[in-house]
Amino acid sequence: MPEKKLYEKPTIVRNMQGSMNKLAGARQRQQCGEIAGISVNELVKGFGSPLWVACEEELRLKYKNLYQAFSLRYPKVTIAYSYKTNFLPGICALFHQEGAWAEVVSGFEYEIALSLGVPGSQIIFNGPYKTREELERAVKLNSTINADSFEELYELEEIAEKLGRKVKVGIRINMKLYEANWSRFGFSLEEGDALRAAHQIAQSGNLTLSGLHIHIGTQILDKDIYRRMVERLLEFYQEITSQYSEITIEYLDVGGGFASSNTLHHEWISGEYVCPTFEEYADAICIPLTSEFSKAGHMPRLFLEPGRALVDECIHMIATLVARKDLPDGQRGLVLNAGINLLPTSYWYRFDIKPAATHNDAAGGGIAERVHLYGPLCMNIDCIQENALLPPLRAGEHLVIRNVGAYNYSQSWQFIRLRPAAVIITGTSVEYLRLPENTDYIMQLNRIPEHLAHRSG
Amino acid sequence: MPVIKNTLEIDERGFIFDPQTGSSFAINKPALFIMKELKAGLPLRSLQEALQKKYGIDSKIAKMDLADFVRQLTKLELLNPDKVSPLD
Repeated sequence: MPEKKLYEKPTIVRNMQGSMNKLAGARQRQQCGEIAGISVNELVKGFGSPLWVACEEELRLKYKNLYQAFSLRYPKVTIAYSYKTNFLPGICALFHQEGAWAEVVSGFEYEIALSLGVPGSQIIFNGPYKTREELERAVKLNSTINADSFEELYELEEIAEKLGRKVKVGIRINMKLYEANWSRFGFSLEEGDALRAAHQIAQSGNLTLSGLHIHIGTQILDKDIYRRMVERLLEFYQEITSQYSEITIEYLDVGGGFASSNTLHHEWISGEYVCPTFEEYADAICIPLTSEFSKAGHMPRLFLEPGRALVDECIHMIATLVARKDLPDGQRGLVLNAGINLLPTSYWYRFDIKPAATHNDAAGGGIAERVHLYGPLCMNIDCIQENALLPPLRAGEHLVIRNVGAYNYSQSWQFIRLRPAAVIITGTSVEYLRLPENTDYIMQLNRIPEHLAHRSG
Repeated sequence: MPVIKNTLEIDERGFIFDPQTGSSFAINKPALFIMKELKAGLPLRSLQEALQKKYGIDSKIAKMDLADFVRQLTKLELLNPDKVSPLD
């Protein structure tokens, strides 16, 4: 009996000339048939597709590596996991097991932290909008509160007066460091508002300035920005501590923003080559700090608020090809069962997308199709990636959209279709982090007024 | 029955050249097999069976893949336009 030849979907692609990138057209032959040792087919069989898949071992390792990089360079380091990045309770709980505090930016996130048993004193409460009730609870539970506006400082003064005790407060500062504009958060250093806020607190009989907070952005690929930020933060620290001798700054909170290896759309070079290491970030932040405080009697605690750098590369999405389209302009489209409502960061990132099944060179001869990857939503903007180079795929084949742990689940929205499950792989076991949505869950908050409840005719 | 344009150069290494338009194309091995059989005049039904037999694939996949590939050839204008008929 003749040996069967290796097969893949027959395909033909037009050769293009004049490509600017020497790697253009090179086929990415790697497939991703397994996630953390579990076959993609098995995961789909057990939990469906699409599916968010988290890898516990990788999550723990990320945390340990980040903590080690900073704690080797500065003696007082606390990591507060940024809930907004991915607030699946199982993910937050995992980081708390590793020793992380919670960094929350809303009452909703604050309640998740409390529900996970995080003491109020290990919650950092940030964000531009905190209600009076949320602030009062945070004060009572001795959380670290970083005020974002003068209005918030007035609220805190009133709360302190009501409770009859002094309240410690940090202030969020913004400064111009690079082209991105984050000046809407906190008090402007350049405009003098940061100093005014410190002055207001110093003049208050009810508040004590205990910390300086800054968060300079997200997916920051230039580690040098952190060094400049810390240097300017330290100048401000010197200014206020020399002006107000009664102030003792207990912590410097430098926020997050550390990048993952994902590739932004405008980048020519893959993100994995340009993403700084944790050690490089730690050098940029800790060298100026140790230089400032090594001879001083007082050394403030360093708070970090990472999110993306901890979770992005440790959670992936499995999706399935449902249809192929030949577009009128000669291009090809693939329709997946996961859309931008599940993967909103596709606006910023060119994801690393790999087929789950092996596509053997012996059959393929290195032919890659240039395809647009669309989602299943009935809206024209539902495009996960344009011009992806993939082996010829047919309906029913699974793809793994890698490194989607940050800001996808937490920013996903229910639209047209129900959102899928999330699971975590621990060793050889797979467990739910979140069950798939069902119609009852979505509809439970709806009410139909009596006069609308009866169909006419 | 779809017929490949007889002016096409089909290289064994998966390189196709259309001298009428100057366009060139890359194909994978199963596609090369199909193009050669089409050029030899094999009818689609027979080609589907040949594809199944050569690669050990089931009939549904062979039928869908073959139909899709012929559609690609049509859109790339690599078939003789006078001799293309709808697939069964």
